[in-house]
Parts: sequence; structure tokens; C-alpha cells
Amino acid sequence: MADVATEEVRDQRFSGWRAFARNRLAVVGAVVLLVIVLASVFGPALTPYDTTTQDIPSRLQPPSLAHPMGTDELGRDTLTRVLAGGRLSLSVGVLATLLALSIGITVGALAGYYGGWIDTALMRLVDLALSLPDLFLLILASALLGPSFTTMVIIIGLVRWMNVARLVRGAFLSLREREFVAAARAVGAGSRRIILRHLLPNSLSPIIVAGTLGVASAIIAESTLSFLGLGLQPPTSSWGSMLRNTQALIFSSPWAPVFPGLMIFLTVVSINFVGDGLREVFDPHGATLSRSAFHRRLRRLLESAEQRRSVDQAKKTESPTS
Amino acid sequence: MHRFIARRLVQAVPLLLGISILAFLLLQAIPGGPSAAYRGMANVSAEDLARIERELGLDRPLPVQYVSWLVRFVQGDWGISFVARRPVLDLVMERLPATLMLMAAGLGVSLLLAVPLGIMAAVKRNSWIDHTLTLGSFVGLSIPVFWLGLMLIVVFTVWLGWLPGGGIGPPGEDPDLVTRLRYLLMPTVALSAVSIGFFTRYLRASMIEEMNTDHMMFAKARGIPARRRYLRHALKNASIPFVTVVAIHIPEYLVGALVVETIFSWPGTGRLFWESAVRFDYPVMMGILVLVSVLVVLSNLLADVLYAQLDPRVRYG
Repeated sequence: MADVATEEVRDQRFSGWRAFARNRLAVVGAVVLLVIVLASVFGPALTPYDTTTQDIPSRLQPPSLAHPMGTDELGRDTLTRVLAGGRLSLSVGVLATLLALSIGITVGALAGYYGGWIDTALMRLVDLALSLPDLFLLILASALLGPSFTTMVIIIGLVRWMNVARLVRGAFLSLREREFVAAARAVGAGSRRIILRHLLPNSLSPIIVAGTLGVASAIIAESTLSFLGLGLQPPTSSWGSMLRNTQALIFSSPWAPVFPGLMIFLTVVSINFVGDGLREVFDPHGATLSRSAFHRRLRRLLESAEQRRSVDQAKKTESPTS
Repeated sequence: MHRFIARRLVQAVPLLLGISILAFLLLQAIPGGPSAAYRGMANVSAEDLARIERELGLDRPLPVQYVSWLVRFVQGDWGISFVARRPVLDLVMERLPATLMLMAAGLGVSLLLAVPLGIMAAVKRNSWIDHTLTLGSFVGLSIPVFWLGLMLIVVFTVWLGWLPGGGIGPPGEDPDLVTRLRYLLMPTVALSAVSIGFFTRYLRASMIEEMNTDHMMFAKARGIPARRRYLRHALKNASIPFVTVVAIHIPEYLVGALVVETIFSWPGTGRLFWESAVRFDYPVMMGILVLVSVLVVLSNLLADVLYAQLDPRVRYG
């Protein structure tokens, strides 16, 4: 019996992997992403330069064999700095997404499990948070709190949890009426256990997809802030802050903005491909439209239209008798 | 219909109140408090400051302060800029036309490109055209706006020297239309890249969904020519969710405009917001934040109304 179950699980995993492998863009994305991550983690140690050594005589050199991405205005090797910058950009992206996931899962779980006024209150909070455009809020928060690595992680996490909260709430709403939850309750499982052991594990797929895509948007958010001078400050340089420095150099060394930006672009596009592939695996028929805020809002709109329609119909069927 | 719009407007009120409470609380968090604008002024003495604080009601309890702040805000008194020493509302209104112009240009270009591309991808589904467009859409969706803007400047200003690298027009003269368009071109392209990718993907998906319905099959069986089927039948139905999504997407242009205006020195509200952030000019930031949030609420409302208007299945009651 147990063997059959594990067999089935293995089978499902295998077919999931095959579905992912069929999506060529997702596989390419995963490989590129892996290369970028490995290069950022180990790369700075492997290049013959370090990120801070200045070499003024060889400043602003175009790409060459010795400096594949050229040198910056202080003669530092751009490749080494780009790889080191990747560590920062990637860690802000991942940490901020983890924060967003934990807030979003908590809010969504409470709203979806308890329903009632808790649900209403929390969802109004989500509506409120969604009507403040995130970049404006991020810039304001960064100006108020002072930019640093920790600030970046916290404020990006604080503006990106709403999507996950909605997804988890939706999953919980549809799961909590199912038999296995009733069965768990019947054998005496408390709310805490039902949420953590029964509902959450069954809601993981939309969370994984949203989390993957969330890293891409968190990286964009961090690099936008840093590019605008309101993110990580020198000498700690992420891809965004490196781009900010190249802005003043575009006449003397027009190749300088190419590489840091290319890294952001490659990372983000790879993550988007991987996320898209994961969604196809978890949700082959597109049942959860988790792609973006627009889909969510659209779905809500359709739901409310549906509700109105059923209310209208109910009225219609009532009226002849009354 | 009017009742539907009215009801939606009423529903938006709690949200707007929530936004105003949040903005008010953020205003309290500003270093120096709400009266900080007057503190640096040379001709304001300590007694004056105390008098101003009393007049602004800063000695009263917070809820009372909130209500009087809200009344003043609605009446157009958005406070005074720390830096420019002028009313915030005036500063914002001076900059708003440039942003609206940029957003309109961006929206226009996105739709002009994305609608034909989306239809083409759906009609030629799974062909090389479709695959190329899918890849292109992902590129457009993933490219960082600031990098795209910077690379446009590098290529078309630094390298080729064809287009001006920033600003809304040559300083000190009244430019003709061609000159205006030359200044507008690169910011518009940078602003619309993401939306072109998004709209193309979305229209493709909703067209394909429509093309798979029974009535489309029936139309084919009746011998209606393909062109007519796609454009008159599928596109017409697919355009209902599409138009709604375009309306919901409008706030994205505000966020994009902030970045684009900063790179291209475009004198709009987005750049004003950034300038204020760098100079810690909180009253200006707060005013723009509230304005932008109201625009978000309004475009969601517009989306709801458009959807109800276009889809005969939705009844408004």
C-alpha cells in the first residue's frame, strides 16, 4: 500500500519533470540562471582581480582579453565587480521574496481559514496595499529609513506580499471544505495543525510559482531603486548601482552600461522562463491565473460579475412568486 | 448604468479614506513632523513657529488633526514644499501635463503595436512567427526600463547622434511638432516596451481562447472566411477582457514614467517625485503619492465600468 503511494508520487514527480523539460525556454532559463548564480557565488574569487583594487592608469578601458567587460572610472575590473554585484542583487531578491512569502502566506492563511470579518478586514488591507504603486512607496520608504541592504530587503518584502496572500487565501477557501480537512478535524486536529499540516502543503504549487516570479520582480525593484540612487550605496555595488555609475560615463565609455544591465536582464528573463515552465507543470490548464496583478484583478472582476448575475437570476426567479 | 457607476464610486470611498489615513500617518513619521517646512525659514522665529503649529492644529489629538488635514487636502492645500517653498499642489500641477503626455504616447504606441502583433500570434499559433513574438514579449516584459532607456541613449544619442538624449524640448524656444516628437520618441519607446510584451501575450491568449469556442467552430462550418472569423468574431469577444486589462494596466505607466522621466530628464511628476526623494522633500512626495493612488483607484473603476459596459452578460444593478 505504502509502496503504491510512493510509486505514484514518484510517477507524478517524474511526469512533472518531463513536462518542465519539454518547455525548452524553461530549461534554457534554468541553465542560464544556474550559471549566473554559480558565477556570482564563486566568480569573484576566480578572477585575477578584486572588487576594490584601483588601477588608475588602466581606467575606462574597453572590453579586452585581460578585462572582458572593460574597466571602470577607477580602473577596477568590471567583470569582477559585476559578479560580486550579482551576489548582492540575487540575495536581496531572494531574501525580500522570502519575507514577502512569509507575510503573504500568514495573511492569506488567516483570511482563507477563518473567513468572516477576519477575511474581510485582511482583504481590504490587501486592496489598500495594492492601490499604492509599489515603486513610489519604495522610494518614499527608502528616503524615510535611509538606504541599506537590510532596508532594501524589508521594504521590498513589505510591498510584494499581496499577490501571495490572495493566492493562499483562494487555495485555502477551496480546500477547507474538502473531506480530508473534515476528517482531520474529526480526529481532533486543531486549527494550527490543520493549517500547517493539511492546508498549506496542498497550496504549495501556486506559492512556488509566485515565489519564483517574485524573485525576478524583487531584483528589478532593487536595481531600479539602486539605479535611482536610493538603493545600495557605494562601495557596496549591486547591478543597479553599477548602472547608476555608468550613466555619467556614457560619452567616454559607451560600453560600460551594457554589462550590468545585461546581467539584470538575463537573470530576470531566465527566472520568468523558469516560472512559466513551473506554472505549466503545476497547473497545465491555467486554472490558477497567478501570472500577475492584472489577472488577479480581472478574475476578481469576473467573479463579482458572476455573483451579480446569480443575484439577478435569484431575483428573477423570486419575482413571479411574490 | 449610472447607478452601477455610482455604486462603484461609493465602494471606492473606504479605499480612498484608507489611502488618506496611511498618507497622514506617513506624514507624522517625517523627521521634524508636519511643521518641518517652516523650521528652516530665516524669518520664522520660535514664537512664529509655535503660532503656526497652533494654527495647523498640531497641539490637538491625532484624529482631530487627521480630519482637518483631510479637509485641507481636499480643498487643495497640500502643504508647502521644503525645497521650493511653494505650495505642493502648484508644483505638482505644473509637472502633470508632461507626464500625461508621455503616458498617452506610451499607451498609444503600445496598443498600435501590441494589437496587430497579438492577433498575428494567435492566428499563426505555434508557427515561427508566434514563437518569435513569444520570445519578443518575454524580452519586453523582462528588460529593465532604466537599462533600456540608457542603451537607447547610448545608441541613438552618443553613437549615432540622431536623437536628443533628454528633456522635453530645446531650452528657451517654442519647438515645432517634429522637434517635439524627436524628444518624445525615446522616452515613449522605453515606457512602452513592458506593456507591448504584456498586451501582446494577453491578447494572444484571449484570442486563442475565443478561437477554441463552439461558436467559432460553427462559424467555420458555415463557411465564413477566416479573416472575417478572426476579426469580427474572435477579436470582438477577446477585446472585452483585453480592454479591461488595458484600463487596469494604466497605473503601470505611472511607475514606468517615474523611471523614464528620471533617465530622460523629462519634467513630469515622476521626475518631481524622484527629485523630492533625493532632497527629502516629503510634502511633495506625499502629495504625489496620494495623487497616484487616486489614479490607481480610478483606473480600476474605469476597468469595472468598461467591462460592465462591453460585456452584455454583466448586468449592472
